[in-house]
Amino acid sequence: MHFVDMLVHRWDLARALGRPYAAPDELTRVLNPCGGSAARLAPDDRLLPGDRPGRVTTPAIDDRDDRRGPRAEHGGPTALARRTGRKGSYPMWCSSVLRRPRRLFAVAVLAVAFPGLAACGSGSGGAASAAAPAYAPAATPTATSGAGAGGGTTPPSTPAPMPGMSGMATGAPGAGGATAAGKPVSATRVAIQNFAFSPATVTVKAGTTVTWTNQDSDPHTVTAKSGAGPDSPTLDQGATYQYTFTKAGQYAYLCTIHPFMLGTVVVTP
Amino acid sequence: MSRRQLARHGAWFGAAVALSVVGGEVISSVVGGTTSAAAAADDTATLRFVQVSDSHLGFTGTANPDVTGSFAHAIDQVNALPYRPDFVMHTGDLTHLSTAAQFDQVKQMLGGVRAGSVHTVPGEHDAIHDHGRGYLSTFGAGSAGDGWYSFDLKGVHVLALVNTLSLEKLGHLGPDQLDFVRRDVAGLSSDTPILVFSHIPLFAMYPEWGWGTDDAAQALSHLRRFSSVTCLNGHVHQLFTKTEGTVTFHSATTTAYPLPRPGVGPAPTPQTLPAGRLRAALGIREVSHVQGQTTLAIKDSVLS
Repeated sequence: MHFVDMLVHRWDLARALGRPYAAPDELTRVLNPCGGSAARLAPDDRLLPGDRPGRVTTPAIDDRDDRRGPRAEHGGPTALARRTGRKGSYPMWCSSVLRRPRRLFAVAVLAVAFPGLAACGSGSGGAASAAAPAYAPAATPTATSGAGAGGGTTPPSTPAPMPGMSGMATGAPGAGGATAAGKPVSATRVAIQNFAFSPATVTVKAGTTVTWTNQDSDPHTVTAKSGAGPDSPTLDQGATYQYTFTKAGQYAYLCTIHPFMLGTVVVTP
Repeated sequence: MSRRQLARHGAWFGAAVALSVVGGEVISSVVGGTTSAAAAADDTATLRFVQVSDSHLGFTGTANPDVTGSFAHAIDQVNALPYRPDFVMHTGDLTHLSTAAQFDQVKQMLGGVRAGSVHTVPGEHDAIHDHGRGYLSTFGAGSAGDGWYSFDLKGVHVLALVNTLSLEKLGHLGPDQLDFVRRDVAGLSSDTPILVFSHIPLFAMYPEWGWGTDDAAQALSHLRRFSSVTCLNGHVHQLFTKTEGTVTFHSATTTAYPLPRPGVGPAPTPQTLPAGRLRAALGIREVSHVQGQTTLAIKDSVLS
């Protein structure tokens, strides 16, 4: 484990300083009993979230990579993820550990530290990765890093200002306080814009009427996830919907047409 | 076929992917091209079908002001094939807003398809506000549960699954349907080629935009023992292919309007492209799975 520490800390230091890092061969030999080639770790590898704060990496789908198979000679975590069968797309059937960018980061570090161990030690996963070594669409790992780089835990349902997206804005949202994504905002107007409720969470007093306005060209709905709450018809572009919250509580809602659009109204007494 | 030929032949709008099953392997080509798959000799043992998807009848945006026209064009292209497909499958989002008029229109138009049979699975746009009741009353004959079904044709077992009627963030099959899948394939020999249709991908293409199915792994676990499993979906309005072990996933393109690539831009909004540049800015993908080979051949071509 001491060798692992050496490898990881060296890499961590190099990354912090923004310098490239190549693991010493003797270290990787020790740590890589399967005889895989030494991993060269670059601090700008796109699988690792947070390396370039504020940068939104677009997940270019490059299936030519799929055909090429794992790039063992110039590894990096992406290739390592492929070699180990860890799918950057954190598919539904993957361990839940893989489904959170932060944890994915940790797994990526482990995969970096154990290129051979992970490949050999993943049990049936090792066999699976051998059967389909070429899989790991570039789309999903970079998508993961995009989420990480764009602000860590920023969910897509919040219109957090992200670089390169200003062209999509269609005007000022109706809600005056629609600034901090996901943060409860005292507002009675919610804009539906770019497939997101903005603000995603609003706090109102009981008896308040909240108004949603669809500013997208696509239709949306405002539908309570369960129980009492808003239940709008299909809202076309420009359409508004109002709902008066009479009882205190938390009202989670979504768009039934695009159910990844989530919002919450917190009603205080 | 060269890239240039493919670009010349391929029409992105209304393009449909034709797939042939030969000896358990799926060969894909773009309808309108002159591929060996399309020109294959008539073989009673060869299953040939067409997948059309995401027609969104009723959509009225700048991304495509005439979705009816482009859907009609797609149907014309199917009918112009040098062979009569064994069946045509529409993988959902037939309508844009699930209205009765839109269902009537799409049913009438699908009635003009010349094929052995025409099948559908519902998209989430086909189940707005009514949990799919309008869809089921129009297209649900012969199906079970929320509209799922299966059939056998020329030695191939076809499953049509519904993952759009009870979703939250991601597509969802539900325990009843998972049990249906388990029972449905229980008696099949493991060398039976399996085709699975669904609207939303059964793989995690981009969960942040809902492009995945949360309980797909359980469905696929019932299919692991089969030597050839091909999952065909719509929803994402773009060609995409990936293979995982014996399971291959193909996302189909649309007859309506393009969507951005996963994660490009803030949301999967219909993409309006400058006039006349739509085809040049988009691409098509040929996918072939040749008998005896274990890997898929994928060819991306930019439309000219």
